[in-house]
Amino acid sequence: MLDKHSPDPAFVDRLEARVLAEARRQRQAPVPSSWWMASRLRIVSAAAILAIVSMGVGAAGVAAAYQVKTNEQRDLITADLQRRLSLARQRLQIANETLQSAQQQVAIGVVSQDAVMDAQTKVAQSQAEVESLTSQLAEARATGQVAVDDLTAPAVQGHDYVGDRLRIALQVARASLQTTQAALAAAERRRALGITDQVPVQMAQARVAEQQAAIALIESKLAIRQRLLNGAIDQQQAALQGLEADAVQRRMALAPKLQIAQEQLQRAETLMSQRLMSSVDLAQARLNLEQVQADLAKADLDLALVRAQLQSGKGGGS
Amino acid sequence: MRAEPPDDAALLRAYRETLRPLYAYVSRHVGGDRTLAEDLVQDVWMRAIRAWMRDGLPREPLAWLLTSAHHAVVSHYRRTRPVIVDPDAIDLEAPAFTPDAPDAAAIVNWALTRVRRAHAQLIEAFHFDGKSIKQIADELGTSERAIEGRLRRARLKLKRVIDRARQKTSAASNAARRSTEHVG
Repeated sequence: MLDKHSPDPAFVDRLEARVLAEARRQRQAPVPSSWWMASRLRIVSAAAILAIVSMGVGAAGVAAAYQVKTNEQRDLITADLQRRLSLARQRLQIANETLQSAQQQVAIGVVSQDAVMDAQTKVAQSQAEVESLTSQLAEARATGQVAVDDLTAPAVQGHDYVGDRLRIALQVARASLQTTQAALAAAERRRALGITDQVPVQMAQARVAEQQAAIALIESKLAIRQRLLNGAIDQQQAALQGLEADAVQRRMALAPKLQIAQEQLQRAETLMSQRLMSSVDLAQARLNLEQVQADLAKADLDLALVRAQLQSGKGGGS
Repeated sequence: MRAEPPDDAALLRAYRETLRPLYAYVSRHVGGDRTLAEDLVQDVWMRAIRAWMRDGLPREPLAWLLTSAHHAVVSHYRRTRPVIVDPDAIDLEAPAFTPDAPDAAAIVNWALTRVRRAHAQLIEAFHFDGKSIKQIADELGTSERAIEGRLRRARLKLKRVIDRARQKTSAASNAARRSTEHVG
């Protein structure tokens, strides 16, 4: 049984992948300072730098990931993965037992259907963890290196391990979408009963939108990966199209947050005029809106830079 | 001169060494709400990546992350205004009170953003970080009796903030109801 304040292992693995992906994205698309964006020439130069950096990182990444293989290194990596896989299988077994128990309890009316849904999501996440680790183990045995999740990594001995793990992530994301949609329905029911106000419903809606954007991103990456492996695009084009998909996903996830922040500011202004809210709260609502607008502007900028590069002919079509 | 951004190996090391204590810290402060804790931890790490890629890996990544997590929790509860339903859920001295539930944690954290920093720190240390009076007294270099007194006053301030919020929530609901009745 997971301790209340311990992270879910599936969350740990997912966030680890996201951290590495974000780090790579930051290395490939450094944020220009405001003075740098003052002129059109500098915008074009920034795009050129992006292309050069992405080419360099892509080539170095491929070379570094598949450098000298040694049996000792392979054994260390595979031993670690086997240990993690064994633990993941145990967690999957526990998740299945928990699901069975929840189903029995629902049948006799002890718990609600929400408990079954949560348990089903947990089983899906645990199953995905097992499949992902199995894929990593197979790749490590083939290459003697830690598995690579770079969108531009080549197939290994004809097998697309990166694509396999993207498909696994897609299954988990779709299962998580069902859970967030159920949470939204529950929030709407509580609002209808007058137990809560509009804010939890809006936040649940934002989570659903974020999850839908995450699914769209994985689907885009799978399509890019397919085009890369078919030879329709090269690694540089794949890297740029991956960055484009990232920026599009960020915009999709931010759009509902912008609406929430705007409505919260309007609500704050109304309450302030009725002297039911302090000026500090109003200032905080304004700041929240500005932060979301800044994040959205950053996503727009990244998207414009990448699309400029794609359209310049060096990146091909997306 | 700008510090070198960390490579994947350094980031992974920092991630694996800090994630559990970071998650535990955030989870305790949000009453164990797993969805919220995961959202906040993810936000903290995304912010960390952007900062560390620009400024380099900090000497104490966990300290950096915990400070950022504290700001993230405070910002989150400044934005959300929980509806206060059960008075017993928010009486810090009542037997029923525990911040180890999402609803109670939400109300208390929201109210903590509206009291003085010194009061907030005492309440966080005692109710969220699980420190004893003696531990807090030793850290602050004062007597246990002084800490008990300060904690009592901090709780009182917090209760006043929560009571005012409950009155405002009630007044706002009445105002909203009157305006929709008028439109209807």
